[in-house]
Amino acid sequence: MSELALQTRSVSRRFGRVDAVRDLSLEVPAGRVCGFLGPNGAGKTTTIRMLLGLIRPDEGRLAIFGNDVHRARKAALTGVGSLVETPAHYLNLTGRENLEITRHMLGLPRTATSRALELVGLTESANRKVKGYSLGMRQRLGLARALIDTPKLLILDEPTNGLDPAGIHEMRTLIREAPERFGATVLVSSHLLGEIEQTADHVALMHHGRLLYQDTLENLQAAHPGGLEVSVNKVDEAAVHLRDSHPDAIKQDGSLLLPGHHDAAESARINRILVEAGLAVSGLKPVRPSLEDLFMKLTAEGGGIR
Amino acid sequence: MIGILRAEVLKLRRSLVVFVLAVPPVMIFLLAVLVRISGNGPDIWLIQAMATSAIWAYFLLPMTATGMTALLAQLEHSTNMWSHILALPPAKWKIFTAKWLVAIALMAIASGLVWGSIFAAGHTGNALAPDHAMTGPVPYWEAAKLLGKMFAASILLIAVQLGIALRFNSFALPVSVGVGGTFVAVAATSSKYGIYFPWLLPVNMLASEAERGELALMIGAIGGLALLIAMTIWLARRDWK
Repeated sequence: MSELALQTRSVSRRFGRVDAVRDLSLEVPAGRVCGFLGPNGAGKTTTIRMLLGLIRPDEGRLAIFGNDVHRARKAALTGVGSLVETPAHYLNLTGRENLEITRHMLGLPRTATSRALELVGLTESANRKVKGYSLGMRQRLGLARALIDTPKLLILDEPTNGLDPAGIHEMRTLIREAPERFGATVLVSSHLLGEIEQTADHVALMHHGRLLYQDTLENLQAAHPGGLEVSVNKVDEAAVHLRDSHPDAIKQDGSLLLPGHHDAAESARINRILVEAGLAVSGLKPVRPSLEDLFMKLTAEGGGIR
Repeated sequence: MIGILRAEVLKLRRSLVVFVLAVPPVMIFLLAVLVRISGNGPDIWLIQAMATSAIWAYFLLPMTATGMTALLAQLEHSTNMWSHILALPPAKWKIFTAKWLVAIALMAIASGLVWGSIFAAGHTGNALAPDHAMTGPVPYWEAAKLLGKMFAASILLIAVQLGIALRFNSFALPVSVGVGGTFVAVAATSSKYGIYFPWLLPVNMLASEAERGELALMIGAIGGLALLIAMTIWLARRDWK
């Protein structure tokens, strides 16, 4: 079994009468980019705050690379870079001075600051006061701070907030490449499912404080196959010819969607039936369900798969 | 710990904290020079030094401690820096200890600046108004001792103000407590229980009875350090949402 970058066991946390997180047992293997998904109020930020030792769980334990976050705090948090919610900075200081504060606190060499600024493309603006930075620049400075100690685990809470399209693209690339470039595992939370789909290879879905699903994105999609989209000149006739083998076929504009997984032999068989019936088949395309579709399905089911 | 202290000092760059520290010595200098020129000040250096120290202890010291601690805390509260600095590996108690060490050091610097301004004002006043010049030995050492005791006695007050400022994400709350405490102190000066009131402890260094001064010094310094340690433990254990 691969090493776990982070692990929570039966973690729960209440705020007054609200169960922010309930019985959460999350496991993220090392070297992965894990998308931590859920709508606002799902418990993602509370989980992240517990992982960073900012708040304590009422029950359960949290560990980073095997070190208990609350009992062996220093060992657990060493080598963890984080960006939680909106990027926080000392507005009276320059970008470089803000990073210097983190550098002093972590006891890193002077070169760490320049390296981190370069990684996020802020070298030229480093000596300007942060008060004058745009939201995107502040977000990048927050990321530079998370990267200053060459982290083995990056915890990013909504990292693309406030970024322009080019910034979003850069952030995505950086997250995707983090395992290879820095040897880092990434836990990236977002409520933007399309965003996660483009960066993560592992997903954890939260809803109402509960973990609905955790596994690879590939397995999630395999467990919920989309279907085969058949482009054909006469959709109604095609549905009739496939009625016996595919009674659940869905008629669309100019095509027929056959739900479920279809291998190459099955696709060929469908094509042959339609061609022999005198229909013009212009394409057969496997359709994967989007993460958004899967998320909606899982949250509607309420329980999901584990 | 050294790295955390260096980080704390760096945070003060271009902040209003430095401005707050500069206000009392400037005010004391201007006030003392004007009094000297007007011919209404005491004729003896020692009395002048004690009178100016009293203004510091009664009003300017508690107000400086209030403003300075509130601003120190706001450096973290204003953009929720706690989420970042408390998520770093150093122990939380070290981060809060560094915070109060810096606060104490800043108040010590302010006391030193006030000491300097008392004599700068005295010499300037003497030069501008030679007819009203003060006589007697210049009490550099006596004033240093008095201001040093006032500073030590103010540690409890600094601890109360800093604790409130760090705990609550509000600038108004610690300032209201500080202003309220200062005004209550004026009314409670002659009360026998006034010696236990944090905002009055520095003023008690001027008391004619030595025992009262010594007791106030003990309560202020030892009580202050005890409260700072308790505050550090409490802040390090609580949740930072």
